[in-house]
Amino acid sequence: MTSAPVTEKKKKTKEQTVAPWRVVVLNDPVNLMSYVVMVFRKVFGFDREKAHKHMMEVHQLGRSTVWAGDREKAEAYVHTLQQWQLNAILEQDE
Amino acid sequence: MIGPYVQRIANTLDDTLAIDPHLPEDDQDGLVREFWLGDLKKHLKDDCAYLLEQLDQHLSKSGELKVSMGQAEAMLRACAAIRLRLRQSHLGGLSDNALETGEGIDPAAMDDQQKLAHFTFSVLAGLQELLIEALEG
Repeated sequence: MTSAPVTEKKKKTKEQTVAPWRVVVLNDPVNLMSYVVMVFRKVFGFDREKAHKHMMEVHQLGRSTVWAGDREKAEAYVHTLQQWQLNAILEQDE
Repeated sequence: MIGPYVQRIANTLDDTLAIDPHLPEDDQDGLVREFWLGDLKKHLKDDCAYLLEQLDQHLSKSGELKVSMGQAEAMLRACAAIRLRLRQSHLGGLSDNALETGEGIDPAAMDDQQKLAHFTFSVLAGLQELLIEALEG
């Protein structure tokens, strides 16, 4: 009767110890807003509204976290964004 | 036409990229760095070659452009890289706001190199806008 809760607890603890990696896009003064929106839609499959929201975060706040998850996939996203000439970096949650 | 000038700027991207490529920090043997940078440079070289081909063979002659989606994307990336490099190399004296809005820019106050750089910067932005409109329209 107690096995299920213990398993659940163990699983949760393991997930908590693996902090997700974040793909962060930094502002640059050159790339067009429409270009950044298009890249976000293309790379992440965002709808226009979500892509525009992230673009405005980059523009106004200087950075936006556009994706979070496992490291391998995060690295692939950063690399793809850099191919599109965006300033993308990889960060890990503290 | 701007083709030869864009070629000159594109040549400067062979050694150093237009962006600062942040890499994974725990790459102790440098293999990831080597692959990462090599791949970015290769893609950029291909993108720039395609943009230059279009500038030389189509836009400068007929003014028309007929490209596939993949080709349009390559041109967009190349335009972005060339514009970033122009900003770094020739337009550093202009504020972000001036470059974005055009306000406060006085071509008469620029030397010939700056004029050419700013003209090319603007033309490539216009080309990007046309391509994006076509892709998303």
